[in-house]
Amino acid sequence: MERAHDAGVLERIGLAWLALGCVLLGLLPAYVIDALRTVVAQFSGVSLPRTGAPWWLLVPLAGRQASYSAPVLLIALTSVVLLTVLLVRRFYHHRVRRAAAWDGGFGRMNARMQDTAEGFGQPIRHIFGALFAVRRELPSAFDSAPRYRVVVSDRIWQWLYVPLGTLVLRTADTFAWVQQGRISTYLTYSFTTLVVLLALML
Amino acid sequence: MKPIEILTQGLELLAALAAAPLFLGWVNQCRAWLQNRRAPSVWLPYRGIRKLFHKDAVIAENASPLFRAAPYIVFGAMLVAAGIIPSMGTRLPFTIAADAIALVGLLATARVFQSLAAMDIGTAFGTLGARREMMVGFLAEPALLMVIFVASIISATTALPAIAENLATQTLGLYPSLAFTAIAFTLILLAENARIPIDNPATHLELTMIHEAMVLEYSARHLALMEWATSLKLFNYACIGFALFLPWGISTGTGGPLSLVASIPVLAAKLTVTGAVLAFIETISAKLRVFRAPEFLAIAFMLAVLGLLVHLLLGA
Repeated sequence: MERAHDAGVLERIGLAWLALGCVLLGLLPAYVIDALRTVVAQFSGVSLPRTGAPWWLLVPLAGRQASYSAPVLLIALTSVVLLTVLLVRRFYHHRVRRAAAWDGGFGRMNARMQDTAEGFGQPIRHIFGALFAVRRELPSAFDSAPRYRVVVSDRIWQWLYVPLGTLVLRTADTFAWVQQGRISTYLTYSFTTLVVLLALML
Repeated sequence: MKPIEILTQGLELLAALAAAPLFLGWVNQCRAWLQNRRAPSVWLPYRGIRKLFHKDAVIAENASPLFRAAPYIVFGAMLVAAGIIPSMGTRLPFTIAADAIALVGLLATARVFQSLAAMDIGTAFGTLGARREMMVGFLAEPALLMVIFVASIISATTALPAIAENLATQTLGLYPSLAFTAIAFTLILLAENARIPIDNPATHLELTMIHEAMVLEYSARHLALMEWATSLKLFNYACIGFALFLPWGISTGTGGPLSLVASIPVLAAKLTVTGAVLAFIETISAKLRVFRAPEFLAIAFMLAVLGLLVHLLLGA
């Protein structure tokens, strides 16, 4: 815990380019949909209709009054936000005083009060609790060295994949018995197969 | 772009900006009456916002620029959303840029920035609020989309003004499927706007708060913008509801400027009744535990799916 530090530049880049991809996809969806056209046509046999809309406008169906233009929306949002900033700055002062964050009346904040990504996902885990197998070790309020431990595993993994995997392994074991690993055994197999085939042909 | 279109667009944005705090004040007043309290003035939200704008902003020492930018972004997103929703007229030129699905995305953008800002300071309260808000959000969004899909299938378009126009100009605009989705939408409205069965807007009790926990670190003009955005969100949701389920009285394609003027009292009447109904629902229901919220929103989702099935299978 003492050696914990913020994520490095490379770690941030690893997530940032994914986020950037999402933003670009949201801003220019028409290109991606154009590229997906052939895929859709190959899979479903039906091609998405070409609506002849300009690059900045996404029109799913021609002739219907529904369209989406991310660049226009972004420009509108940005200008409204900038206008708000300007108006607030124009009509009201923009003094800012820095102070300590509210500590909830507990005096000094320490690492125990910090929330984590684990905590952020807690509601989702709770809602879908029936699907997950959750084992928890909760600390008591009086522990001097509190320890919180959660092991989340997938129930479907236990119910479906583990029995299926066992079955496949057992079958493989049975076949492995046939493969003795000696050249003479394999030659015997080939010989027997050839004899059986000959018998069938005759 | 015709002058009437610009007029409609401008009028709707101004109406949303001006009337949203009033609507919130009206809901609060009705709630106070129903709870046998002396009601605050309907103008109280305006006074609150004005007071906050004049105060000195105090920001936590470790706040990043994101924390300062978030109120403006949330407010901007809510205002842009108001420009897509046909509250008075359906001739909104801006809807070429965003249909109902983009509107849901816009509301989600505001939610994400609000949650990010709440986590920015690093206090337990902020993260607690953010995680609860995201929980409510990811359950409410599919339900809201499903509600919109039902209305879109009926009118064969996803553009909100076109849906409203379609439903408003029909001779008999009564669909049983829309009745189901209207109930679903009411549940979503209550959940998304931090109203009583899910969140109590008047509470400051750590175990129950969602929205208040997120804006806890804000003060002065930032808080004012956040509060204004909250009232705009409620106003927007109410207007989405009107567009989908009570589109009568709005100015449609053939009407002139007079019909636009005539739609103002109609909108006021709808908001007055809705505010009273909202306060009534909030008064007769109790706050749910946080982990009962998924059930509440699952009911909303199921009702919306039921509406979809009723329409698809029975054609009603």
